[in-house]
Amino acid sequence: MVAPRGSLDVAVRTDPLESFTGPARGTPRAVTLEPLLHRVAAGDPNAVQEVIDRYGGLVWSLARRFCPDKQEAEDAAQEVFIEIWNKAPRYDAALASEITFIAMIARRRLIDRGRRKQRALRADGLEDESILPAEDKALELVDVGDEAARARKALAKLRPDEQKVLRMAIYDGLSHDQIAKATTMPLGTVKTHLRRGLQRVREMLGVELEAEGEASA
Amino acid sequence: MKHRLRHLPRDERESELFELMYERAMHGLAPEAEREFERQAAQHPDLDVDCYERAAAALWLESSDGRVQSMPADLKARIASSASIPRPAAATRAAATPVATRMPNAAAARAGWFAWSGWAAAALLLALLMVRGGEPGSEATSPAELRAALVAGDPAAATLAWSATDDPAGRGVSGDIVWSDAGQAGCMRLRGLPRNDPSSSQYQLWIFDAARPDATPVDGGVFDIAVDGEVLVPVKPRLKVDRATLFAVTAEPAGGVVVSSREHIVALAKR
Repeated sequence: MVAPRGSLDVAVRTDPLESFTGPARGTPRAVTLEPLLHRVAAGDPNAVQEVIDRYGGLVWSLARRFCPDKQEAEDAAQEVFIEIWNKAPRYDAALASEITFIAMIARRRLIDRGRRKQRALRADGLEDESILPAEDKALELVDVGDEAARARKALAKLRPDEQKVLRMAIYDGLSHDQIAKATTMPLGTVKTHLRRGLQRVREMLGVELEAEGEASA
Repeated sequence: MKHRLRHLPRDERESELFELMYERAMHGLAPEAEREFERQAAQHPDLDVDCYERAAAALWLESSDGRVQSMPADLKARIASSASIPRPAAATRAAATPVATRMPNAAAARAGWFAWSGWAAAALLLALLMVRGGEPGSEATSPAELRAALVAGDPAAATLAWSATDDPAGRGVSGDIVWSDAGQAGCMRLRGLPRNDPSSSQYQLWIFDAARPDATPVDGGVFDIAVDGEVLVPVKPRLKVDRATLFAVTAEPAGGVVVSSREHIVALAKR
């Protein structure tokens, strides 16, 4: 069951074990969210709380994937939000939706944090969810934004092997070596697929962005 | 939403910057490589150097199905309570003007004009502030002029005395604040507030609004005390205040905060 969450444009799954039976994949709700970051940049304290409410689940999910234990994930999530406050004035709605901008900042901060700690990125997040306390299993559904929908279309145009390694690298956080072992592909092939795959997704996103920009100009 | 992708390198395969952009998006960069990335990015200001990171972020969002774990409530509360963002300096930092020296020649001339014009000029000045959103304390409007305009131009303007607090910095505080709901502006007169080192801490004004929860007072701006004696500080909040009920001055880290911990309240003025 998907229930609206107060004044926020997100939905909360009240039963975390219930399979998602909502709208099409990746588009749980067709909602238009008013950007908040320009209000944060203007010093609106209410916007700070709204950003935390709207994107807390996103940041927390990324932090849990990148960090091996809960305390470290909490520290990382706080670090990510500090970065969000700092970068808020740089948000450009013409380049990306707000959620993509937030996800980009979060990934960058978490990757940098992982590098600093010299630890491998988390590769077994889904398995570890089984040992999380009940409150950690609560899921939310968020509108993933325009870029995600375009990324899905772009991904679908890639070769299956490229799609596979991109998902393993981006979503599961696997290293090149781990992907090579898991797929039995040569390491060089994994690297080539990743590079070519991300480049093509970027190109396809760019082409669509330019096409939309021309259409709306 | 209108999109316009900025330029990419003409030949990406041979671009070192492209290589850094890709590596940054996939694995992050070591400090030395990050510095090189920043150096090269600065040489190409029109280049959209985040495009690969955005593609990776969009892929992650797509792969997530939009299903994310709920952030624990206590973590949300900690993040909110510690939120501190850089504030737009030009718009939020007010100048505290020593009363004894606040009237250089040009200002004194304006003061003479002001005295001559009387109430009508005050009302006009206040009206201009209301209509144009003028910056109190600017060259065109000194804090003293603003204060006089508020008092003379808005019969409903409140003059509230500061109360000292138990905070060591607030024990000797006195003075008052003039505030006009209609003009959305005010002027603090403060005595006895210790000087601050702007590089480490600043004073920040908070305006409690009857239309807002007490937990989220309106940010009235940061200011510094650089002199002993009495100072005037103009107040022009960036957010609308329907009816101010309480004013509080806190000591905060340099730059101010979005949400105050309220650990160092140095002055209070209640309506």
